[in-house]
Amino acid sequence: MRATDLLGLRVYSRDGVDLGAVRDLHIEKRSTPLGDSGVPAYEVTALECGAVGVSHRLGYTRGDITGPWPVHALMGWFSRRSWIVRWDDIDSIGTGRILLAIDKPQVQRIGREQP
Amino acid sequence: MFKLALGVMTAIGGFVDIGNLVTSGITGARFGMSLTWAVVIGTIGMTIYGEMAGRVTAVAQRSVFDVVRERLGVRAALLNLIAFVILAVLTLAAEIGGIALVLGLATGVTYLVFVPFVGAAVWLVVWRLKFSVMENVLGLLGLCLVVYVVALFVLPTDWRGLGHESLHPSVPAGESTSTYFFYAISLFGACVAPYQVVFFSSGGREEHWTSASLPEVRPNALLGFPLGGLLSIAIMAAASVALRPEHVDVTTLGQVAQPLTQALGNWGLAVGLVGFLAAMFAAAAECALSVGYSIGQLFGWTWGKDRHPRDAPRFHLACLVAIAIATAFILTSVDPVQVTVVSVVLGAAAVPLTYFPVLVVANDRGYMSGRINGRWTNAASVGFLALMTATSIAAVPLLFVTKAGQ
Amino acid sequence: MRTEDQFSLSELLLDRQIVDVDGEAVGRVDDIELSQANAGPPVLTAILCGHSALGPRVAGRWWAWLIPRRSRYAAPSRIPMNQVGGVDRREVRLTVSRDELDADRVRDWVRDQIIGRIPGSSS
Repeated sequence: MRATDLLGLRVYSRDGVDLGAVRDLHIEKRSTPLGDSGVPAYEVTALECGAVGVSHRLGYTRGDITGPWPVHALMGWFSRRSWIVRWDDIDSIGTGRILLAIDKPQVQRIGREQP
Repeated sequence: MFKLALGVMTAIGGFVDIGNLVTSGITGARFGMSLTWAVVIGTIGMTIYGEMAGRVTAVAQRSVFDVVRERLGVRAALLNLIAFVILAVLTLAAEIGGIALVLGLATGVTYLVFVPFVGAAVWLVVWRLKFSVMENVLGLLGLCLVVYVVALFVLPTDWRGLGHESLHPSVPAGESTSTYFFYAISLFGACVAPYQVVFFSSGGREEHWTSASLPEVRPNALLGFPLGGLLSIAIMAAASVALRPEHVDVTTLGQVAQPLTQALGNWGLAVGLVGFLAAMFAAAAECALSVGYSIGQLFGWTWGKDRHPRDAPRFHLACLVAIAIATAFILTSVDPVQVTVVSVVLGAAAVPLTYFPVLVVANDRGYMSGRINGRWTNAASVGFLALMTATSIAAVPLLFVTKAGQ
Repeated sequence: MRTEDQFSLSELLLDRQIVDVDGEAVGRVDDIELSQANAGPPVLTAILCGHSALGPRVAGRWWAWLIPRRSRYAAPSRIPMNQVGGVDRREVRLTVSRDELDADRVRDWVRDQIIGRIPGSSS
């Protein structure tokens, strides 16, 4: 599987709501190594998805950029309509779509993840 | 101190190219000083853009097309690259044609004879000449254009009248509003040339700028570009004083040089033509290199003028192909002056494509740590972004409505 | 690989410049290979680069129609994660020289067949 195979898939919650397309993947270092190679494994822990991709690509979903004013406000508005989905909450990955095991009210908005 | 002065002087010489010569000449003769505001705004925009790109290069170690690839997504980045390369080749063609025209003017032989040799010479500079030699020699020779300022003092210049006309812009009688704004856009495009910014930032990577280089880098943009803009205004003023009363319709480079002959005779013309040649030759080399730089950065190849061609083969191939296409295009006997006008107007329309991602990264703390844009820089750069976005919407319709300014 | 414990693909990896152990440019991260053992989450196993990694991202189905994935032209340069030394905000650094990697045939061809034949290319 390539990252491109995940990026762009449409995400649907269990109650059938379209949450937009996959825009980015969150990676986390795992404590156990990759196979028996001894190098640490980096695993996909979550997906970012949303109706508009431009704020993800420009970096406005990460909190490092706070300007310039009208661009930031617009991108912030786009980002607030994006979601973050934990890998464990995925029910199945089909052709062109990802189905979640949770309903829309349980999906988290971006920027408001609980640690 | 010496290095600082050298940098500023080469920035002045590098600012002026065939775009500035042609648009300042045409507008001075047709509209007097009533379009000065366009040069002023264009120069301010270029200064902001150049300073930001220089800062991003030094602090984040990224040139323009690194940023384009990382921030726009791969499809938008590729379209952006295609637009940039087409425009750079068009501008390169205009510069090559311009150099040939000047050589034709000096010898009395038809300019087409010189075109292949000019193309070959530009390629030799890209292929062999050291970066610093190219920048310094051509940049300093470009300062010969200061002869326009001298000419203004010799000509019967009505300074007060020129000043009044610059400060109270209006569409002159006999000209349509659409032509007026078409030429305003052409002056923006001549001042804000994305190929110059790509060259400036990529050259910075070749010279290994770091945050510590900023005190040397920023004056190049903050002083050099405004002084270059002043030089463009001087050319416009000279054309306004010498050509406008006689209703000369500037269609050739020779006419742009005419105020020099009128004021200073043949030696004035000679100095001016040396300035023309140096400015256009530097610009031609910069255009060709910017094609290699942009493609190399987008695909992550080894790139750089100071690398042996064998070590950066695809970069050098891209430069070579760009020069070959531009030379062949001019050999079809298209009018280089017309090519210039079209290239600066389309260039103005394309500015937001490369300017916007640089503006975003210049605000990213993750890349720039403490060196992000200040409040006033952001206010000015967003204002300029809005203006250039409006410009790019208006540019192509105006190009057709005015039949390229005729 | 040395990097932050948590990051996102577009933050540090995708589209970034790759340099080898000597600092020479290798290419850009055109795509990422993910592998899934059992039912767990996928794990990064390799960086992919070259036109056959970039093409499908740019042209999607059109590319697949032009060059099917099983064709021998469809295999991109593959850099396994154990050859990746570190990833930071500046670049992706490898622990090997680019000459040891799956050779970049296009670069070598341009160098040997075109640029190398022009006088003055190597001095």
